[in-house]
Formats: sequence, C-alpha cells, structure tokens
Amino acid sequence: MRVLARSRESEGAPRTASGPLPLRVRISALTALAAAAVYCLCCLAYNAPDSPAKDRVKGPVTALMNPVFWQDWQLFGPTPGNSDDLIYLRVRMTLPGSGQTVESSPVEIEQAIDRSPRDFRLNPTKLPGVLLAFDADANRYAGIANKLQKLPAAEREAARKRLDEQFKPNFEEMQRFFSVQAKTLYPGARIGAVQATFKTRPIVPFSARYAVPKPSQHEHGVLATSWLTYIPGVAE
Amino acid sequence: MFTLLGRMWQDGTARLDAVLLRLATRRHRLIGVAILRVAVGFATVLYCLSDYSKRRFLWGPDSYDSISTAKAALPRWNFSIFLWSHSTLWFEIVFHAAILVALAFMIFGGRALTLVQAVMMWSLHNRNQDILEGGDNLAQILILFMVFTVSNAYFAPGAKQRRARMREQEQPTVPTVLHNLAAFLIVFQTAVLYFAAGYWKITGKMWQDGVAMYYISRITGFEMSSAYAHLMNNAFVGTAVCYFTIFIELALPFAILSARPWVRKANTVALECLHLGIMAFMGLICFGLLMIGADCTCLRDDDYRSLARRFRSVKGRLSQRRWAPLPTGGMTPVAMVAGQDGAANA
Repeated sequence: MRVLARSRESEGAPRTASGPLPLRVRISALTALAAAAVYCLCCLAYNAPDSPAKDRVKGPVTALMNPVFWQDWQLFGPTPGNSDDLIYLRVRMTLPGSGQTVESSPVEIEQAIDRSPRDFRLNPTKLPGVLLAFDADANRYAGIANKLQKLPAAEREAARKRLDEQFKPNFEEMQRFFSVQAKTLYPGARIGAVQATFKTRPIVPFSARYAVPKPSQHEHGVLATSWLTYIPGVAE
Repeated sequence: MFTLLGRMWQDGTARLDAVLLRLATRRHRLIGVAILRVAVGFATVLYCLSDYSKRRFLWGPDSYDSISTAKAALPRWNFSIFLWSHSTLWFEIVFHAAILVALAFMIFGGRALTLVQAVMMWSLHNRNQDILEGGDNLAQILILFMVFTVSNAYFAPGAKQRRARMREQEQPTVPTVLHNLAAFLIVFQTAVLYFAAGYWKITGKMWQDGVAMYYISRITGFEMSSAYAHLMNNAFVGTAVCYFTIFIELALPFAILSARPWVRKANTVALECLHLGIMAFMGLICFGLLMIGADCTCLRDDDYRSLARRFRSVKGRLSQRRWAPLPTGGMTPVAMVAGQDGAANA
C-alpha cells in the first residue's frame, strides 16, 4: 500500500504535452485504434442476443471472432440446471476364479465424482467437469436423435450414421473414461465391455423444499450407449 | 461553407490529436493490470496443481481424452504443444514448464513472459477442453491483450525502478499506445462479459422469481457447503442474492464510465464479494480468482491510490487509538487535553 501511495506523488497529474505527435506514433496509434474499434464492434455484435439485425452481421463477425476470441458468457443464465445428472455404468467381465462371463448391475458413478471436490476445498479437483461435458454431449446427441425419428424411414438411417460420425470423438472419450472407471470398480476382473446410461433426477422444487415427507424425484433416462469395448492402457 | 468545413476538420483533427496524445504519453491502469497478472499466474498454478496426481489421466498422452480426439476437437487456428508428441517425457516436461512459467509470470510479469504464458495456457486449455470453467475462456482472451501491456509496473521485483524509467520517458511512444489500448480492451471485454451475463440472467424466469440460487446450490457438483444450500432455502435471502447478482453485473459498464469514483469502487468491491462467495460456496476457485483479477482492471490507478490513502488513514487512526496513553495519577484529564492540542503553550 505504501508503494502505491508513494508513486502517486512522483507520477503527478496527467501531463499536457504540447507539440505535434511524431508521424510514426500517429500512424501506429491510428492503426491500433482502428483495430480496437473493430474488435469492440465485433465483440458487441457477437454477444448480442439473436435478432434480425444480428443475423445480417453474424457471418463475418463469427468468422472474425471464433478462432481466437470465441466466448460464451451465459454463466448460469438464463436458466440454471434444475436437475442432477446421473451416469449408470454396467460392466461385462470375466471373473478371475470361475472364468464365467457376467454382466454387472448398473452402478451410479457420477454423484461420487461430483462430490470429490469437497475432499480438498482449497483447490478442488476439476474431475466433475469431465462428466458435465459427457452429460452435455449425451443430451445433445439424444436431442438430435429424437428429432431424426421424425424423418422418413429412408432418410433416417443415413442421418443417424452422420450423427454417429459427428459424435464419434465424444463417444471415444466416454469409452476410454468408462474403461478406467470399470477397472477401478472391478480391479481383479478381466473386463470385456462397458455400457453407460445417462439419466437425470429433478431437484426438489423450491415450493416443495420444506415438504414432509420429502417428495420423491423420479429419474428420467436420457441416453443409453451400446456396449463399448473395454480399452486397456488408459492412464488411471 | 468551406470555412465552416475547414474549421470542423481542424476541430476534429485537434480532438483526435488530443486523444492520440493521451493514449501515447501516459500509461493507464498499471495497478489493475498488475493485479490481473498475479491472478492469472496464480490461477494457472492452482489449475495445474488441483489434479496434479491425475495429470496423466487428464492431460497426458494416455489420457481418456486421447491425442487424436483432442486434435479433432481443436478449433480452427488453435494449437496445443501438448499434442506435438505421444511421449510421456514430453508431456511431463511441458506440464511442469507450464507450472514454472505461470509462477514466473505471476512474480515477474513482462511482455516476453506474458507471451510464453499465453502459449502455455492456451496449450493446457486446448489439451482438454472438458474441464474448463468460464474464467478460462476470459483468461484466454485477456492474456492476448496483456501481451501488449506493461504488467510488471507494480507487485514485481524492480517495479519501482521501472516506474521511474517510465516517468523519465517524456515523449509519446508506440508501446504506450499499445499498452493503453490493450488495457482498454481488457476492461471492455470484462464489461461485455458482465453485461451479457446479467442480461442472460434477467431474461430467465428462475432469476426473475429469485429461485435460481436455490437450484444452483443443490446441483451436486457445486454444492460445497450445506450452510450455503440451507441459506438459499430462505426466500428472502435467495431472492436478494439473485437480484444483487443481476444488478451488479448489469451495472458494471455504467460504473466504469461513471465520473464518481465511489460508484466504480463500490461496484468492483461488490463483484469481488460475489466471486469470493463463488469460491467459498461453489468451489470454483480458479474461476473466482480469474474473475477477481479481471474486476481489478475496472478501477483506475487513482482509485487504488485513494483506497491506499484511506486504508493508511484508517490504519493510522486505529493504531493511534490503540496506543493512546491512559490517564495516570499525576495527570488530570484537563492537562492531558491541553497537552494534546497545544493549548498549554499558548
């Protein structure tokens, strides 16, 4: 604080420099000013809500902003989540003793990971973000897949293939992540495949927060993946 | 007619010259930018250390997010030096270099280190985009502007000498123009962020009803404290927090433009409190730190100086009160008063 106070005396009031600006500085300042003005206008248009006016400038503005200055400031707006996401994992494995291949019953894995930041509150883990991303992918995929159901049967199959191709990297991520989770759940077993089911459970409504007994919130299914081959060698 | 146009042209160029002169002669917002530098560096160190034991799982070559998947997810013109090799050794070198660079950037600052920090931070964020929070998005943009600023004029070794050198430089210079414009863009981007965030909230039914905080406090991933969830049960507290959040977010651009320093200071302090709350109750430590750093650029250097003066005067008054001599047997209260104001010598 003392440093700040001392510096004030020496820097003094804004200077009123007279005389013309050097040409080099003038040209550089004007160029930089123009670039800053373009950025400001693009930033405003990029963040503006959808409107006919925005539609007219959206193309060039997005082209200019997206590669480096992509931004999304909705931050819990307009509607924060009102449900908890759940992921149930099933594992197909060969038991070590008997050599018998069995399928496990579904085990919910997301809530435990979501609670893991509480283990070290000073600098919590970012692990829940992974599942948040998976939930978003699953919701997006399910939303598009549901829309595809309305297409004529002839087009539906091709559209579904395109959708699967589009989401291939996302499902590959899930496959690797769930493989590690399965290994953690069943350390001794020889795992063959994993399958995940994404569900949501609504949060008790605000109006019913004091209700006794607590209203039971039913889980809704979002997406069930097919059996995904277990991938060994992923870092644990 | 031509005389009038000529005069208008002259007026216009004179005004433009005044603006350019102001931009070119004195560096503004040095303190705010220095605080932002410390916040970005510290948040990056915390970001890396938060999952240090799981680093190979989240960012390594054998991560669940494989190198080919991460490459496919890269936006156009983006890069990550983590993706240059499948070697574990390369990953370990780059990851630890990212921590060291962030630490050096936090302590020393400077243009070269800012550039290196930008490369490392973008690389880290692009390696795994699943675990990013909103603050990382802002930091990625602000660090690009920071490359053009003088970020080490305060809170860095040699800062005093650096400021002395800057004062000696009387001539308008291109680096000064770039610093001022970059500092302006940092403040502008922060203001746009808050206004957009406030706008999206105010259009939402849950925020209008004042129940948004109740639902947020019950999402398992953000439920760090049962006391917070319990507080948000209360309709008055929940509504007040919702409306307060929207109000201070929407007000920021106007507070920055305000000629009254107390408006800027009050709004910034309110935002800092909001982010301290987010850090404590929602566990978003890195997000909160980055946002606090960005908020700090919204205050002018003079605002910080007046805050420092206020702080010193309060501290002085408190210490005076603490060390004031108590009445003793040989001294009457009247004599003490007389001694204090000098009336005894008159």
